[in-house]
Amino acid sequence: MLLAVLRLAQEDGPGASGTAVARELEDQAGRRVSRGALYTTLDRLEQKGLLRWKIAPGGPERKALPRRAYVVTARGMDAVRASQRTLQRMWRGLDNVLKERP
Amino acid sequence: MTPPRLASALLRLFLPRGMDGDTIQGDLLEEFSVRARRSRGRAAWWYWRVVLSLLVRYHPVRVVRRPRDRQSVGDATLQDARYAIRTLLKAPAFSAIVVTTLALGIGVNTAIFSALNAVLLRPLPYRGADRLVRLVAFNPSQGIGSSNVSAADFTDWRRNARSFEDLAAFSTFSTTVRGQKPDTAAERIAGAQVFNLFAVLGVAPGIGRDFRRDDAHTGPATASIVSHGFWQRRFGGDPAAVGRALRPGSPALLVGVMPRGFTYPDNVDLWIPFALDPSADPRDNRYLEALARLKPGVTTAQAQAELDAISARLDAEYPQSNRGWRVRAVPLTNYIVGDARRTLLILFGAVGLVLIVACANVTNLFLAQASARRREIAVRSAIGAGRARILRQVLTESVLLAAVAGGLGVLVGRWALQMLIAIAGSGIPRLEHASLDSTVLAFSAIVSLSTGVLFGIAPALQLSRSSLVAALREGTHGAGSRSRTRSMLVVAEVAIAVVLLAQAGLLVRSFRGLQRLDVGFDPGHLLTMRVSLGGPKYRQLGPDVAFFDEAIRRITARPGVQSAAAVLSLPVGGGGYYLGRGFIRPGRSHPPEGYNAGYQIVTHGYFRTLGVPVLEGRDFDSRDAAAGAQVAIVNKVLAQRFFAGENPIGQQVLVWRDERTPREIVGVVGDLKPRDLTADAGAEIFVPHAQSGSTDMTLVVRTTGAPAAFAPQVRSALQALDPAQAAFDVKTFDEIMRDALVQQRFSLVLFAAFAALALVLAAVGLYGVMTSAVASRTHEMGVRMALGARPAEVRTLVVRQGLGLLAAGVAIGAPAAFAGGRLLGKLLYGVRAADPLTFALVIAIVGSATWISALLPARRATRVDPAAVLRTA
Repeated sequence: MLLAVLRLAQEDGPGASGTAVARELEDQAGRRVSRGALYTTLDRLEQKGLLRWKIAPGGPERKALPRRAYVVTARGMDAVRASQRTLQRMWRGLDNVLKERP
Repeated sequence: MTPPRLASALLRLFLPRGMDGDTIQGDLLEEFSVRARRSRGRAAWWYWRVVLSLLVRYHPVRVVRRPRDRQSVGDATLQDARYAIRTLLKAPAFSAIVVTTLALGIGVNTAIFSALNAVLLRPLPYRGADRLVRLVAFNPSQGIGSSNVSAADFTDWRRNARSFEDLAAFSTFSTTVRGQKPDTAAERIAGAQVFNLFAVLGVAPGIGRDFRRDDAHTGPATASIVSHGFWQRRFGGDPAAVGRALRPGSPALLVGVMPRGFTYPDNVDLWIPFALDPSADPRDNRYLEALARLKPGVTTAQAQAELDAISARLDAEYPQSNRGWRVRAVPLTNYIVGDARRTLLILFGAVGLVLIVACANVTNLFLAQASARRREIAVRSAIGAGRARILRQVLTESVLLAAVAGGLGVLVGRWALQMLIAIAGSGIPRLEHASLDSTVLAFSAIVSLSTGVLFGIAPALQLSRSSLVAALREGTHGAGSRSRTRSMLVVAEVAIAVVLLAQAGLLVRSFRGLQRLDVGFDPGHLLTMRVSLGGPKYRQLGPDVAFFDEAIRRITARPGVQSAAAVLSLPVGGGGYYLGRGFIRPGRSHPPEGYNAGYQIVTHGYFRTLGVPVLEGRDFDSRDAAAGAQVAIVNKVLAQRFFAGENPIGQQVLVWRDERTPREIVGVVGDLKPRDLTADAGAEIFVPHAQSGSTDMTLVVRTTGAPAAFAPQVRSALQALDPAQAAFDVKTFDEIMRDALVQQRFSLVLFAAFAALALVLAAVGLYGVMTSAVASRTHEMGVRMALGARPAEVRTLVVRQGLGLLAAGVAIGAPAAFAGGRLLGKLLYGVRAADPLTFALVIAIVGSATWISALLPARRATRVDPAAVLRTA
């Protein structure tokens, strides 16, 4: 989830919307996310201080309803990096096992 | 492009207020509009799904995490509901099928119940309507089932009966109202002469006053009251119209306007006072209709006993006029509803059966799903859910589905009710007022919830009972009791389908019989219209005869018209005078059953125009003028009943209306069907118009082309003759025949629809049972085929099981259908309740439906790969 926000926040400029996060997860991870689960997860990440959102004004396509623009906080970045390191450590030494046979 | 409104409203209701909720709503709106650009329908479906999933997430009452043993019932129910929504959304196809099946069942029940409610249950819009009774005279010794009453008898009842608060009398008429200004069209309206009517009904004029005693006198009416509708149409709803003349130059003043919707009796627009004078008419002149209000606390039976005593006294006192005459008190609602009561109750029974079939089907689906859910439930009970808890969980699911189905069912019902009203036309009284009011909605809610419990209870019990260990071991064998329940349900469904199809079949047979019924003439290519001559010019005999003679001559001269004639009232659709003393044979003693006969006035050419055969003697012709020898023609029934063994031709009779001048019978014609097509023709006597004038006649025109196309021509011919006269009730005879069969068509169409619905549901149910039976016997099939059974043999095995269920269903359904056929009673005509052809056809239809729904799973059984089966064993 954090990765999806990161990917979008870079390209999207100010921040990623909930809809965009859901679409990104569907496109990149190939997983369908129910809206209930999406907002629950985003709220939890926010409570943990890994994400925060600011209000962006909405256009006519959403009847001027505001939009949440998510960005990853510094703590969030730390968490992503830590998770990356953990994963990399875990991968080490498994290259032979995981190598796909031709 | 806006998303579904109901879904949006739900969303707003449940989402947290403020920024949190607004941003989510915004996201959904945005994505909806993107999706809607591709497909509107799929976007709406998506939106609903998302809203429901958010609903589960953001339900306002969060389940507080508490120790399990302290969980309150409310919380648990809520948790159950959330869990149920999630489970049901996970199996959308299953949920959709259940909801659709139940919605259809609940929908047809809602529709029929709203009809029943409007026609039978809702009280008439009069004060204390349950105390109102109609008084109907009858004379069993003369074979007269119902008749009007005479002013003298009415006065005696009113004076002597202690059971009634008061009595009212009226007689209806129709009149042409010409416009206030010359350009407004003449309008034909129904009117009633009334005595005491509004007081007895307990309805007062909305504007102006009721009639006073001095309004009623024998001269031309000086006071009149009109309906709200007429007041709007003719006077533009002007309150100042009250107190002015009813029509220009008329002595009748408009004294009152009735409240909106009041048109008793028979959609009347105009009421004038009636001067009740018992001495003015002979006691056997029965032309009034009577109505009474029971005193509080007096039953209809008590009133009937008192009326019987009075009738017996009048019988003894006036044997000439009252021999055998009795009077019956009929509650007003029953009188108005009449035969429709039975039709509606039977249809209500039929839709009840359809609902049972729907429930059986849904139970079956739940049971089938139960096998798939055994592990889930086992896990739940392994971590501590009690039996009651699981029972409640499963019931919550079924009730929830039933509630959704109920909501949809009401929509189905609304649509079905509109269809119902359209099909019924004027055949079912009061039906046009049917609506989905609070009573109907309460009924639908109760039906929905009880179906929810009904179809949920069996699967719930079975699931909560299932053995934990066995389920966790994932056994697929030994679902014995469940498949027995399912088979029994299917047998019941087949039986009900047989019952409904048999009734529908009987109705189709009798309807076809009625359509092909010999009415005594050729009803095709006939145009009819009523003409009622008004104005002082036609008050004496002569001008009326001349008008119709000339009109018929001009109409016949038009191209495309074969012939034309006029009659007092038409066969089949019309009324007429059915008299206890239609004629007398001078010098003969009065037969005990009376010279009971219908009286008709016809122009010459009438029998030829209709195509009625002249069996003996001659038709009327131009010789039979006013000054010529007085003549009459009788029908076959009359000739056989009163002239058995004699030649009626040349006999002298005295006919009603002028019992001084004898008439010679000059011909015998074939019988014509009366108003009720299912009744036999009665005795009828015909006199020529020239010798017995009438200003109110119905023209019949036989055309070469489509008769309806000739209506403008005939109208213009009449207009040219006398512009002040208007033709009304313009109908082809085919339309009259259709109207005469409207009740039969109503019950037929509905029964056929319900039977088809039940059949489809039963077939689906059978298919489900057979499919899961095959699935649970896959192993056995594999072994059989491995041992050398041919596919055809395996197929036979499965089909035989299906046919076994069919046989059991037919064995139960056929006797029930026979009993049901007898309930149809008067709705059947010319076909016995145990009609072998109908039953054979029904069994063939149900049989082939069974065969098809058993064959599909059977084919699947033969595709079992024996090797694969043996490997998994």
